[in-house]
Parts: sequence; structure tokens; C-alpha cells
Amino acid sequence: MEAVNREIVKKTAEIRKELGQDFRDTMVEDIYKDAEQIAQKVVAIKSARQYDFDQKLDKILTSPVFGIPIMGALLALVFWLTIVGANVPSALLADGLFWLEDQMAQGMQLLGAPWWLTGFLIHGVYKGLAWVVSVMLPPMAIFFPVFTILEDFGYLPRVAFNMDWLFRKAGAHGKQSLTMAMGFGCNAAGIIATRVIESPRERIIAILTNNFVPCNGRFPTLIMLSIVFVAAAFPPAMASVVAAGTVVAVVLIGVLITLIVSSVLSRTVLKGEASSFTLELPPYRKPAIGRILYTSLIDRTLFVLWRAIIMAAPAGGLIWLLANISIQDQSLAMWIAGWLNPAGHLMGLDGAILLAYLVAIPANEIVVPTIIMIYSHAGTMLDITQLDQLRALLVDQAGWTMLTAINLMLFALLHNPCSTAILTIWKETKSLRWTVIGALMPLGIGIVVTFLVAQIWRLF
Amino acid sequence: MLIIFGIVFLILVVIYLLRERKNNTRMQQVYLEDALKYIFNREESGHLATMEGIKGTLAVSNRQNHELIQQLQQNKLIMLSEEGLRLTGDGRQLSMEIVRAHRIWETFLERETDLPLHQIHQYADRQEHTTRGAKVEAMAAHLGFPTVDPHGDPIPEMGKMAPEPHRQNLNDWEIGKEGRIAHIEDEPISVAKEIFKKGFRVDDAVRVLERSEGNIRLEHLGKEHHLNSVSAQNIHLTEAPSVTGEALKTLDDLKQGEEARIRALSKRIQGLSRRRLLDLGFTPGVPVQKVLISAFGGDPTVYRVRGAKIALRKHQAKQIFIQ
Repeated sequence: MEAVNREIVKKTAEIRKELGQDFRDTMVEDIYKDAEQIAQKVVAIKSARQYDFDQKLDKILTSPVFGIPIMGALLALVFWLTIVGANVPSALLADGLFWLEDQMAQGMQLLGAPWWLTGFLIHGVYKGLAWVVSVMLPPMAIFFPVFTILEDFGYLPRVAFNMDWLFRKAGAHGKQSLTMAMGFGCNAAGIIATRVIESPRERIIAILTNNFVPCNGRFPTLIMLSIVFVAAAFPPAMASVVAAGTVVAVVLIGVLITLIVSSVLSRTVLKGEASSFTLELPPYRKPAIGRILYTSLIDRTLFVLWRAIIMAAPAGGLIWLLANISIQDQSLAMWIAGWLNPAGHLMGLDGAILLAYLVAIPANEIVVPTIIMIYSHAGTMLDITQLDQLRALLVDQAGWTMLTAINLMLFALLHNPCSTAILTIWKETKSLRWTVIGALMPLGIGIVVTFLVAQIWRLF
Repeated sequence: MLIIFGIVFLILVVIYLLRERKNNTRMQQVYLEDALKYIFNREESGHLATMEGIKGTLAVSNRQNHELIQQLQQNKLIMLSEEGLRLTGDGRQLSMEIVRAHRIWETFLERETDLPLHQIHQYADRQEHTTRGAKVEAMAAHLGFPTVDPHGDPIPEMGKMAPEPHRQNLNDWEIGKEGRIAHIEDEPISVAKEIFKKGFRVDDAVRVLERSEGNIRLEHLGKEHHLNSVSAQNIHLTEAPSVTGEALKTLDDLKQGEEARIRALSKRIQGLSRRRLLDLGFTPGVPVQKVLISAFGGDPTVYRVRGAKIALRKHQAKQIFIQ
């Protein structure tokens, strides 16, 4: 048997040499010829109505007049649904989970557990988890299904078609506009979504730049800053519009940086990678709601949430330890924040912010609560919902200025991806090089940009 | 503390020295193979290699040069004679293996990556020393056992190399006669870059229109080009009929709503792009209709092929010929 097999392999190797250069072309042609013959026998096309309808809809959705406005309106609608829709469930979830925290803490006390064990497990590990879940779950559970409805309907490829001119100039693929949009939900999900880009060079560009759009874990930071600092300078009636406008401006900066970095990458390190462009515009379909809910909730939301939970639990524990281990009457957190202060000052930030970004590598949702915890010398992560109190703490006590707010917004946009996203880059590229670049390039850009802004700001 | 630093420093020094040594033996190997290749190329063009020639080509010192030649002689790869250096049978075999690795690599890089064409020679120069045997054959199989590299040079196989076909320099080509580009010299790189940048490729048809002092005006793919005689010196032509060089109509020439049958995919679409287009059904004979042009910059454009709507960019559409 062995010998026969080897004989066959040898024979094929010989024949193959005679096939010539075009054997692949010939093979594909033959397969298509067979398929055509079969299709002619068994497929009947009833009418061209679907096709004509598609053509008409395509004309509208890709028209020079309506194309971009429709896209903008739909994107705004998705954001509005996500942010507004998530408010109430987030608050409810937070109330419930934090109520459970108190109950569990009391239970531990009744059982006679030492305070540090209760603190570490309940006020540390559990609290970190609860925080991430309550901030992350509702927006994702809304964003992903809504996004998937657009995908299922067939609208998203039209967006890629409309936006391709912009990305082509940056040496990237039109579909990157979609993976970028997915990044608003979660950068890790956005990085996985780059699988739709079949061309290696453009795919790596999309992976490496996905982090330049803020995910929903980073939105709370941006919204808080825009309300406390920017909107406060305007009359109350305009406050919410100004706050929204500020967030949009930050997002647009992120898109701009995505394009610039894509362009640089495609002309330097990625120059030699193979590249090709094809984009299918599938027929429009009625979205299959049941399947959408399943795929977006199970495949995307729960998958991302589970990874974030695994990452957030140790971070919660670490934060509690930092806040509760004291050396010479000062918590470890305060010491480290103090050491980081000079570097923070150079970047127009401070040590507490840098420390918060260090411990929040697993999950960016806990940046603000950690900052507040450090400033108010608390033992666990804190949130302050009263605007006046928040202002008093950040401006009067911690000495934040407009520069701090602007640079924190920039840094929220431009820093290393969270550990889930870094892990995803590794899984998708299986390359240490791209993982390291994907992790450190945004951080480097963030440090340089905030440093420059701080120095220029201080000149005036 | 100081002791720890001292130990770490020592370890780093040792690692550095070990790596240097490994690098040195590898460099030695590269020099030997490059010398061999040089002698081989000289013999192929009907000359004999000299020690001076090796020294100049490899840019090594006198002492290094002597060592190299001694080593080649010890390994029974070359023979020394009065007139110069000559390859032994073994030396010839090894040279051809190196040349094969180099040219297979060049073909692979041309088809499967987007490296600029003038750079693939340098890249292949580095790879040829580390890729041998089964790996080269696997690459060759993937490429469909090419017999000519992207510069028009024959790829040796099984220790045999096809003789160079008769070809004439572009500077000597008859005015008005159509010819096919048979060879584009890859060195010096600056000249190769200039030639590739203007769009000239092996197999293209060209026609010399006018020749003046140090300058050539020629027709290529329906367009007029100017080349200086230095660049022209690096291009060789044959009379064989062209395969792809005609100025044909492409998908890009269609107007919105128009339909045409595909004639062929240009040889310039290779590797990933070609496979992708074929998979999507862009095969010869199939009718394709241009249905939608992007309102933003006119690129990409949607084509209807086999009932599916596929968007392609302009530069791709220009490589798909229609009937």
C-alpha cells in the first residue's frame, strides 16, 4: 500500500511539472464550466424584480448626495440607541451588583472572615468584576445586535464601497471603515472582524489601527470629561449638545489618526505585503432577527464579556491591594502615584491618572473609578454622580485644568489596547512583531501627542 | 548590587560574542556562495573568472579573497589554471542550485508579494543562501514550476539550464519593428527601478519609434515612452510574438451599464489577486456588466459577474481584458 501511494505521489509530481504556469486558471475555468452546466439544468430564475430593487436601493445608498448623510444618520442612530438605551440598564445593573457586594461583605463578616479577606475578595475582585459588567454589558448588548441588523440587511458593504476612496488613499481597504465601526463596540471584536478583509496587508493595517477608535469601555471617560469640563463652560440648555459634540470631535480625531497611521504603515513596514481588493455587494435581505440576537449576544457580547471578566477580576484585586497596603501611613497607590507624578506632569496629566491607566490595562472601564479612589483616599473604587462634587474633587482638590481634561481625552484615545485586545491581536496574527507594534505604537503616539500638547499649552 | 550588575553584564557580553561568531560563519558561507555564483555567471557568458574579479565583485580584502579561493579549492568546487578559475562538476551543480533558489525566490516575490520589482533581486540575494532543496522545490511547485524568472532569465532545473535565447539590445533594435521584451537586467538597481517604474515588464511588446542622441522614443502598450540609452542598454528584445503586450480593451473602458465578455486576465495580476478574481468568477468567456461607479472619486466600480455584484478598483479593472 505504502509503495503504491508513493508511486502515485511520484507520478503526480511528474505530471504536475507538465501542467505549466496556468494550471490554476484552467482548473477554476473547468470548475465554473461544470457548475454552469449543472445550474442551467436545475436553477430557474423567476424574475429580475429583486435585482431591480437592489439596483434602485444601491443608487440611493451610494449616491453622492444621500450616501454620506444616510451613513452619518445611521451611525448617529446606532450611537444614540447604544448610549441612551444603556443608561438605565447600566444603572440598574450597578445598583444590583453593588447591593450584592454589601450583602456579601456582611455575610463574610458574619462568618467571621478577617477584614482583609473580605476587602480583597469582595471590595476588590468582585467589585472590579461588577464594575466592568455594569459598564460594559448593556452598551454591548445593544450595539452589537443593532450593528448586526445593518450587516444582515446588506447595508455595511455599501458603506465600505462609499468609504473606499478615503481608505484607498491611506493604502487601506474600504472594509476597514466597518471594522473601525465595530471597534466602537469593542476593539477586540473589531480586530476579530478584520477577518472580512481578505488582503494580508490591509488586514494588518486594520488590526494595528483599530485601537484608535474608542470602545464603549472608554466612552464613559470621554463623556465624563466633556460634561465636567467642556459643557460646564456653556449655558445649561446647550450643555448636552456641547458634550455630545466634544465626544464626536474626539472620535473624529481618532478616525483622522487611523487614516494617518494606516497611510504611514502601508508605505513603510507593510510595503511588501501582498495586497488585493475585492468587495462583494450582496443582495439586500430581510434581517433574520432571531439569528442576529443569537450571534451578536452569544458570539460577540458574551465572548467579549467573558474575556473582560477574566481580565478584570485580578485587576480589581490589585487595585484593592494598592489602596489598602500602607507604608508609613500612605497607601501604596499614593506612593506610586507620587513616583509617576513627574512623568504625568510632562504629559499634562498626573501620577494618579497614569497609575489608573496602568491598573486598567485589563479593562478601561475602571479608569475613572480608580482615579476618584486615589484622589479621595478611599479603600475601594468609587463613582461620584453629583457633578458639583466631581468638579470639587477634580478641579479644586486635584488641581485639574482644561489642559488635564484635553490631554486625558487624548490619552483615553491614544494609549495601549486593553489586554483582551492585545491577546486578540496575537491570536489573529500569530506574530510577536505585530502584537508588540499593536500594543506599543498607540502608547508611543499617545505619549508624544500629550507631551507636545502640554508643552505648547504651557507656552501660552 | 554591583555584583549582580557585573554578572548581568558578563552574560550579555558572552551572548554577544557567541552571536558574532555564528554570524561570522554564516557570512563566510555567503561569501563562498557569492564567489561561486560569480564564477558561474562568468562561465555562462563565455568568459573565465579571475581572482581580481571575485575581489572586486564581493568587495573583500586580499587576504579574505585568498582564503575564499583556498576554501573553494579544498572543497573541490573550483580548479585553478593559468588563465583563471574554472568550476568543477560539483561546483557547477552547487552554483546552479544557488541560481535556482535565487530565481525561484524572485518569481515567488514578484507574484506573491507587493515588493517593488527592483527590490526583489536584493531580497532574493539574501534568501538564496538559506533556502535549499525541498523548500525550493515546494516553492517551485506552488508557482507551477516556472522556467523563466521575472527578469527573463532561465531558471535551471535538475542541474540543467536552458541556453539563453538569442536576444538583441534595445539600443540595437531596428526602428519600426515590433519586438518582445525578453530580459530586463536587475543591476544596477537604480536603472532597474527606472525601467520598472515606467511600466516595462518582461513579455511586453514594444516598438522603437525614434532614436536620437542618448535617447529612445518607443511605443509600449499603446503609449509613448522615452528612455535614455543607459536604461535601454539593460533591456533586451527578441522577435517572438508577444503574449500579453497588445493594447487591449479592459473592463475599465466599459461605460456604466455596458456589458462585455472577459478575454483574459493580464499576466500582471498574479498570486493572491489572481486567485481571488478567478474564485469570484472572473474567468475567460464570462459576460461582465459595469453596474455602478462610486460617486466618490469614481473608484471602486461594481461589476456584475455570474449574478453577483463585485466591486473592483480601477487598477485591477485595467488588468482584465475584454473581447
